[in-house]
Amino acid sequence: MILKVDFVSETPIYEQLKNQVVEGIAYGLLKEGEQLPSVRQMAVDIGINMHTVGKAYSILRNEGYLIIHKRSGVIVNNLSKIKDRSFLKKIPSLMKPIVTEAYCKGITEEEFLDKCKDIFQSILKGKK
Amino acid sequence: MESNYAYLTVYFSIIIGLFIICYYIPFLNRETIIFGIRIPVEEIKNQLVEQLKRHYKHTYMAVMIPYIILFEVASFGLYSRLILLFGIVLQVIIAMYLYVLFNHKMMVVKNSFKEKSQENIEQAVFIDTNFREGKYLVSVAWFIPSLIIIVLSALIIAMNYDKIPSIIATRFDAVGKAVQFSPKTDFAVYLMQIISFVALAMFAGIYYAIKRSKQQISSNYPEKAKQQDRRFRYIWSGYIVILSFIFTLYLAIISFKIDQIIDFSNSFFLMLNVAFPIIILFGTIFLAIKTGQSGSRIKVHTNEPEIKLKVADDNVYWKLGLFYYNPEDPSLFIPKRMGIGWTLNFGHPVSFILLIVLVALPFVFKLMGKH
Repeated sequence: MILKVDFVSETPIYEQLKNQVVEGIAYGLLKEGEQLPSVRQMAVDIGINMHTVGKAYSILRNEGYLIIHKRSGVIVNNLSKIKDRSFLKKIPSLMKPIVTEAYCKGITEEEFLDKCKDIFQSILKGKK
Repeated sequence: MESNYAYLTVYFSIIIGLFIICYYIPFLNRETIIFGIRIPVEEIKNQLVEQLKRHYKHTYMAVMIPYIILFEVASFGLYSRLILLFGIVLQVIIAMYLYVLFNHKMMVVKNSFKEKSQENIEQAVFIDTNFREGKYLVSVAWFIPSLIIIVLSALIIAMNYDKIPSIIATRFDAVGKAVQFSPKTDFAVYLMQIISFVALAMFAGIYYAIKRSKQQISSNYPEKAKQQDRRFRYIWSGYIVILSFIFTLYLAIISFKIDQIIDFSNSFFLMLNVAFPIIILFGTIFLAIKTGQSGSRIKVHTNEPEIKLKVADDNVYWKLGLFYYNPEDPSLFIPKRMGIGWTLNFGHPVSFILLIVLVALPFVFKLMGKH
């Protein structure tokens, strides 16, 4: 999978990495059991501090997306193990800034939900 | 006299080889890197850039050809190795000076682009998480033949140790006439094996650098760039292995000559001393021009769609377009900006240790030889 890192983006680099790995797993660009580069190798390839990559990887590990072995390296976790229904509880607080911003900008509820649906559909389309 | 002709043949090959490769060096990298300066992809056909390239070619010819002719005329008849070596070093310095000059000119041209491309501010790189998957280097096991030669030649010397005379020659001219002698010590007897071993470690280090150094796929066609970079690494890792083998073999032959185990004919020795450096020199130049830096000249076909990418401006890290200094980057080895191959990140503390070791090595050998 090709990752893009933007050095002048408002989104911190570790978050860019984290988001893209999650996206990659959702869209099936990263398969379960697939190996990712080591912290050092990824930091070398991007040309950034190793802590930045380490931070992204440790968040992804804590959230169940990755398994980090000392020996076999960084591996995408089983999709069944990534599943975690309790995430539903976090959604309101995660979505609130986006929904309120959309409201202020004059986006209707229907339009907003349509956009959400489009994203869900594009993920599901890739699966079949 | 024959020996002098041999030196001159090698010498002129080096002069011509350098002349060719230095001419090409600025054009071996990706088309978005001109004279060591990264420019936006939409500017590669810019008139100012084209003009500067032409200007470089003319300047190179106008400076180099008179220099070479003048130096040869001035040094004609002087078969001093020191003077000839000085001529080669001076040629390299002039070429480097031209790069630095045009690197500077290119920076000025690049800065003039700035106002035009303000709308999409992005400074990004691409990396492929599968870049190092599968075969992209020849197997490291190909170094084993070199190792076998070192061990085998050392064993042959050990078995014939008693037959080695008490004074041995340590240096020869091109036809194999001894010009320097040393008493028989273990160090002198096995010196070629020791050098071979150090050289093997160095070749293995280069192999490691080829394996680990930063991937170069940030372009509008990342898949194409990836395939080029991987092939480039495959070809050069193979070349390093072959080079290591040839060099080890050469030193083993020299060691047999030193220890008088095999008496080689003069013509064989002459051929060896002329053919080896010339083959390696032109082999390297041929490969460099064929592959280009990071495989930029290797033909690859992909059907990927173009992805617009504003590649991060890393020009500030490239001092004079030659030296990379970025303490934030954990890379030790980095693909060269001008020329073919890899260089050190001088912002990495280990780079200085490595540099000191490389510079100190010949002196260590000299000192050890005295004791």
